[in-house]
Amino acid sequence: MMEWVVASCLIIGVLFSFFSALGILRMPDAYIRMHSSTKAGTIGVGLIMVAVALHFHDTSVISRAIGIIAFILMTAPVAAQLLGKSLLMNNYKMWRGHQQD
Amino acid sequence: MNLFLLNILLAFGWMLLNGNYGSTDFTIGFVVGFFALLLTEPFRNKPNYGRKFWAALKLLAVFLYKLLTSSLQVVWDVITPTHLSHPAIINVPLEVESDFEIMLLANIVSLTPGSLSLDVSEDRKYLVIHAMFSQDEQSVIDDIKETLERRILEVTRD
Repeated sequence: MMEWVVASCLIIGVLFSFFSALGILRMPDAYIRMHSSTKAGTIGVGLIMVAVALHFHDTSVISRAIGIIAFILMTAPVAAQLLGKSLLMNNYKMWRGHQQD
Repeated sequence: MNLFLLNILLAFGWMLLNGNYGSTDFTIGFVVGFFALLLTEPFRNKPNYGRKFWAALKLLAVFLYKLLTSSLQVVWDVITPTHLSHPAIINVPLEVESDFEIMLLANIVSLTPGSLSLDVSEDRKYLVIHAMFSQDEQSVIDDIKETLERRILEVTRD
């Protein structure tokens, strides 16, 4: 039973990571590429870490997995925000849509 | 926030008294400490620890749910051949004030459906976001203010 849960967490996590990488190649402009890398990447790594914690079921491994998830949740948006701010300040053109001041 | 730290301290105290240092002991200690703090609510100036704790749990649940749906939305746009996105850059007026609240809101906005926080205006009145699916700007603003900002305020304000 536990093996199935671990396996499905791993597979879904890997799929999310793969699609986020694919999104970086495929999406039309830099802002949307950031959507892909931030959101799908976070949940991909998060699910893989949940699978690791469930599989080893050991205090030191679980605490490290929780630490990794917490730091990913804290740092991914910060990195995206800095990239986005620099794009905004350099008047990067979006591929369609419009911009408020 | 202080009470939450006290609650964790109580959980460690429970572990020390029992001499077991596993995750289950920590959980039991945390639950016992939580109820102990609830019992002492009437003696404090602002009896709101139970309500705030509940609000924080709700915020966490909403956040995880939104993270999942936003990822699915992005993945769907990646794997289907047409580009569905209709991007726009929007200024969201802020109600939150302190550094911690703005940080929390900006981080959560970045990880929820179709929005990415880009900047906070100099006077801290607006959050500049990039919305991926915005047919209607007002509805994007309302969604962020209704679901996220209100819940954050429930946790951080008295």
